Amino acid sequence: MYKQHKNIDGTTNLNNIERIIDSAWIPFDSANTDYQQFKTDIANGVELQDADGNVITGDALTTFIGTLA
Amino acid sequence: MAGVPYTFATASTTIPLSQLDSNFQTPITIGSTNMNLGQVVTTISGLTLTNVTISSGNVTVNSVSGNATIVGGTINNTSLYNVSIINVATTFPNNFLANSGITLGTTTANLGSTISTLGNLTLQNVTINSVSSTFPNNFLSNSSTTLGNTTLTLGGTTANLGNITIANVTIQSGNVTGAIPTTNIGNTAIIFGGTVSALGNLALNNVTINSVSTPIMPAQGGTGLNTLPSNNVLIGNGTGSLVTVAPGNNGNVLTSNGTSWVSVTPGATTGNVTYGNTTVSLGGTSPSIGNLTLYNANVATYTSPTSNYQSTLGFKNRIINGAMVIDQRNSGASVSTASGNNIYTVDRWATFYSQTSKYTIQQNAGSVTPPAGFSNYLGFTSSSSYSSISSDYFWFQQQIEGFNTADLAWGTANAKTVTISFWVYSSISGTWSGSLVNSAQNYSYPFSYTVLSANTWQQVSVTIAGPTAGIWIGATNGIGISVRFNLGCGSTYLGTAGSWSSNYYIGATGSNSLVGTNGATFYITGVQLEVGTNATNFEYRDYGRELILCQRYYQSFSNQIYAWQSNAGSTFRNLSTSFPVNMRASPTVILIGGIGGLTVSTTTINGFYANVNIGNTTSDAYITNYTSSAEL
Repeated sequence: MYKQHKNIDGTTNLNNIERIIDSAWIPFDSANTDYQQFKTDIANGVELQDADGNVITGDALTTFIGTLA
Repeated sequence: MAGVPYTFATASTTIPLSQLDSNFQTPITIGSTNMNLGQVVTTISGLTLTNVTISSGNVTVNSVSGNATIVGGTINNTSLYNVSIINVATTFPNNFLANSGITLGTTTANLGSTISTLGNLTLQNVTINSVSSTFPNNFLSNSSTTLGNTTLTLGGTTANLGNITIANVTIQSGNVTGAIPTTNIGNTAIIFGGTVSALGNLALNNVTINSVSTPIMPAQGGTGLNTLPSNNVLIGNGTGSLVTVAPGNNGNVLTSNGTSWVSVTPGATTGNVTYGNTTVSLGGTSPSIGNLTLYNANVATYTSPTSNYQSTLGFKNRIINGAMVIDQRNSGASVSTASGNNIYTVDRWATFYSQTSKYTIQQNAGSVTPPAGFSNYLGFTSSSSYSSISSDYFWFQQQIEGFNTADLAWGTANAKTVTISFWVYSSISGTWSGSLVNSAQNYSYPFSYTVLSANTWQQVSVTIAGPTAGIWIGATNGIGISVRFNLGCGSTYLGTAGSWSSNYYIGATGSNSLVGTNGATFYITGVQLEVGTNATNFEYRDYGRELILCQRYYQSFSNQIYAWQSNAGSTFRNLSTSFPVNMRASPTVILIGGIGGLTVSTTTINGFYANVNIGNTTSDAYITNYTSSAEL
């Protein structure tokens, strides 16, 4: 599972995603193999939570995936 | 004899018949038969006649009891019945036996006749000394004989004879037709009855050549000379016979006069001189000098190596941590494969598996003595006896970054040959394997190698011609080459060793499996991948340099990092750090220790930035450790 976090200003951090199982911070860098795996995972239905702990699904998830490089 | 006036014994003249007994009563005995004169006697017994000639009439010997013996002589016009012929002086003429018959086999023949056919006759212990001509096939039909392991029907046609040894056979020209089996000498096919003027690829052992018709020329590996002058130097002469240069005067050196080599007095300022493997033109310009060691040399002008220069310094070995020295993640502890499907072991080396808990990995597992010159190795120990199915995979690898392989020009016509070498120690001898794979995993080269003796360190090298096809990452931070070692992959991932394939292979067909034997071990160190056709000495880099190389892909930082307060009175704490080495890509960061709740907001190849709302204005925020990973 993965989880988004917020920046100090309250906006969603779109530079990193947390991999919950080991609290790893994965940067949105296409050369990072963990990031490559993250994209694969959420495309395959692995759970993604927003910063408030809500599971992102449906159009929101599709939109989010579309923003990923 | 009373009344007989004459005595026969004393008679001196003829006794007249009148004086004899007129009644012929006086008997006489011939043989055993008594007879009286004047009587007719038809049978005389017990009489032997000597030198008797019966000149006319017929003689009949009839109903003779006992044996009748006729010795010698001639009997004409005589019928003999129930006669035993004890001996004949010569053979009976055919016409003496005419009108008599004899049966041989099923054939009845008349004596004195000519027989050309005998039927159903069995002859035993027969010696045929000669026949007027060859036996016709139909005389021998329905019989068979065995040659080698082939049964032949006499009179039939047999195309092949199997398993037959023919010795001392002379096949005359013209008598052998059709496809004649050949035999190979070296790689030359020899046809019986043919003429062979050359034999190729033939190894001769312990051969003594007593003479050759002409000296063997250089093109055939010879000198073209009958003798080599004592102490002379041999000089090449193209395809012609070698030429020689005599030593000349005491102290002379061999030098060039621009055309050929001559023995001259040293100190010449012209001509060519050879140093190492390079000829230097005295007073001229030498394009290069190779394989030359200079001592106390002053270099007036240095020109950097040309593009075909192959470095043997600095980064000859494209493998990082090939000596398995750096182990930032585990510090020498054993690594489990009980979960996940890929695990990093010592730095830069990862293992992948389709089944968990089939083996463990540890730096210096088993604590055997590494090969000379090495202090560490990477050890795999099998945890079970598992038979891989076709889709299973068990391997370990190092992926070399594209920046470090781009010069190999793989996937182009200029692809360079590489040699991979390593030291291996396994409890299982025999054939092991690995592969080189491109980043897309659709082009690979399975290779195999042999562990000659179990539990013995052995250096292995495999030379691989660079691929001119396939998609290979150039000078980028992506995967240039994956170097993989097979630990028991299934058939899906195994291909033919020794050639490039557009399939994805991890190892070679028929190679050993570590996971197949419980407790089996596989240790490796000194892994080197270098340009060229030969394995050179392992490039043992200093520890600091090796660590820096590793830290481009993974860092484990163990020191407290404190956060600062961004604004006076703020409850937010900001924490940032720079990596000691720029990483290959923005790394995955794990914060360890200190306070919780930190959010990593920005990560680059140079460092990361994190912050936390600590909820008060006075407490410190810090972490005690972090790891950052940018592995390929």
